[in-house]
Amino acid sequence: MPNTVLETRVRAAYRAQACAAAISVGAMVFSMGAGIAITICLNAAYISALSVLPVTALTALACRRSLRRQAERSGQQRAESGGLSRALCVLLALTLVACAIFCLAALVNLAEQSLLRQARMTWIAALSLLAAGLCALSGGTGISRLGFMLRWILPVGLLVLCAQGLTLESHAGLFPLLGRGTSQLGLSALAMLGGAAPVLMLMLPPPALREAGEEAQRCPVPGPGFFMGRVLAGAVVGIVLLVVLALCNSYESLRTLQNWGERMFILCCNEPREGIFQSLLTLLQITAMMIGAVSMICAAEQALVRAWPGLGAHRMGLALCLVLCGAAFYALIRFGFIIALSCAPFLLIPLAVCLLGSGRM
Amino acid sequence: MNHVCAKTTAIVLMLCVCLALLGGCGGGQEIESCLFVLAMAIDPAPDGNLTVTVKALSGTQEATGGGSESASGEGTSEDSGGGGEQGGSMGGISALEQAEPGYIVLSATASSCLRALSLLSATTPRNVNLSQLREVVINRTLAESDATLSILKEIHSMYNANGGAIVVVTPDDAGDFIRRQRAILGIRLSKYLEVLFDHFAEIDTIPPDAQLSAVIAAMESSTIDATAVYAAGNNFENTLVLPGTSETDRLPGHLPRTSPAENEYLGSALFSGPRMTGVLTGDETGFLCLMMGKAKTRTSFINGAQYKTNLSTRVVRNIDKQTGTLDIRISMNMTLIAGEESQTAGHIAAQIEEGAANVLRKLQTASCDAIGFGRIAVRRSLDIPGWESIGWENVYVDSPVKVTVRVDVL
Repeated sequence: MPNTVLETRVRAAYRAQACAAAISVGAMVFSMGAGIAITICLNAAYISALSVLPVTALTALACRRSLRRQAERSGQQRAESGGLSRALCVLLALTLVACAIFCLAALVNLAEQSLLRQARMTWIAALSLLAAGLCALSGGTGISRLGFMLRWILPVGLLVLCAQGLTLESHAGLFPLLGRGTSQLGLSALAMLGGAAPVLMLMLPPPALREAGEEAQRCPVPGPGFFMGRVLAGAVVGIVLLVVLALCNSYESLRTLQNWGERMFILCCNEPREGIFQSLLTLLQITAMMIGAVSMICAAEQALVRAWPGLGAHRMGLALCLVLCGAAFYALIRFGFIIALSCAPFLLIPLAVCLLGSGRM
Repeated sequence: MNHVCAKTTAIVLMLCVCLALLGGCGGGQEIESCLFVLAMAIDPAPDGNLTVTVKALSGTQEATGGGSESASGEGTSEDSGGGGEQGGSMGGISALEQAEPGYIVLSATASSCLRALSLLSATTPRNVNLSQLREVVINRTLAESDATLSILKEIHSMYNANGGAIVVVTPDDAGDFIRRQRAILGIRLSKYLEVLFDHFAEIDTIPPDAQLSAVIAAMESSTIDATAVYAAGNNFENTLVLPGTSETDRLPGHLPRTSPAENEYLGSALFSGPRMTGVLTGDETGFLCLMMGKAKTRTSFINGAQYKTNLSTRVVRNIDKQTGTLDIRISMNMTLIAGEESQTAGHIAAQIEEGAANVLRKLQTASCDAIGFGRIAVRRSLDIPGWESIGWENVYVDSPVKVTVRVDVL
């Protein structure tokens, strides 16, 4: 007899993980759009970000297929190989760490431009990394559940607060529709494809299943629409925020914004002195980026432990991920965040390799 | 057990560190540690320099006399003989002036607005804080140059000025303009200025989008131009009653009235890009607000009769695709509430049409697209290079205009 209670709990675990992945994708799409797409095609960045949607859907489908194959394998096979090859696990971990670094870098830049103007970048970066590490200590289950809890609050709160800054004339910011032109739009669309990389975290089963035992790991994986719908919703929210950026600023204003954090700053409220709403909006943006980063760090840790089970002792996998993040942050602060913006489009390469690798399992 | 204890201790320690860093008190500022500027004035100074005058909270209720006269002789950049900043240490800062109880006026001369503010910060034992700024007054000579946009952007972005501060252009010395500004009603100058601008906006004698952030955005935009408030001081020596259809159909500075407030805010300064190119009177500003769809006044006096607008006035702006005519259609519903109706709705509509069309032609002459026809024209271009190749500024100036008004008197 099917254990409906266990299946319900397994489904809840997958749902929480899918929500965390959706928030990660939304944060990644918005950060990449503000950091890269706006500099290429100005106010048409949201159009170029639409290219992420099919890649996100495809990645979700591939991850779901990988999960199903892992669930179908026997416990012995799973214990020996983890269902994914070691090389694939390492590539997956590195990709997710890179995405986490990008999200944290976006968080640091936005915080520096909005809430903490007087603070030093090093302090903000250290604090963000410390906060991410603390959140990741509870494991992927904790952050997934937080993502599930905020699955409506975050997008609805963001959109409602953004709407406060719009007027009847805001639509003027959308024109000219194609921004700098079709060639720039195409280039930007290509650069945005890497924004689907956070979906790779769905390639790993929720950590709660391992804790629940063998029977839970053999439970059926939810259907394709279960994952695809949620991550697409997350990507759409990220694209809508890029639309809001275009509505709030004319293309001439966007052209003058040199700083990544300035480009991510969405002006809320027609009366700038209403600071509470502006602060709330910025906090929601930062929360989404933090959830995204922590989810990807936890997933990277899980992938590393699958590659080398010895890293599971004393959370060495997590420590390794945080050390990588710390080293990357030092390099970014030392040499400039332009490095992160330049490398982000190349996330498409490991994304494609992971998808191909999982397909050959 | 020890492992669990160590882990718990580590988590608690990390949380405590986060609490200390996230407490938010690190960036706190005492009110008395900042120079809260309420009004700022910018004037041109010799040798291409700028004089920045600020009126700020002094934090005291006592009015102290200043040795202002003796210090100002040393304090002008003319005496420093080249290099406004070099003269700053000697007297680039004019004398500390205590204008009225609770407020203080300071000024500095330097090669740019930013450097003048830095000079003020360096020589006043307080950080200059523009978060409470209520107005930015610019001398007309300066506004007619290309420097206005860079000045406003410096104030807004570098010093985090309040984006809701109103931009005012005056033909007078801007520093003297804010010196003679006093809270004649109420106690606080900040609230006095807020209510002042709200009131004049309600009666449509000042333009609707004169806030600092809106003016900067419009100056940067190629689809709309900026308007600022036009103001001047009245020395009450020339109280000449000028002929005209309306008392507010004139520019500030010579209104036949007396008041403890010498400054008069009436009309609009028109900008084409970053440069001021014209002015509108108070009545003309009312027509501008009407055509922009932002008229707030609901009561009108027409030929001795008082009318009230009950429903929102509908304004449709369009550009004819074939002829390129700038077309505005206005629909108004009015109710007679006092006096005798001496004109038909048609006559009233014709008067409004003529007034609005005259204002539109005046805007074209000043090359100021304050109404935002550019925002309609830009929709016909697919990309930015296509739009910029049209040369909208020249097209706008030469386009025919048409204003159609329909008035229903209930």
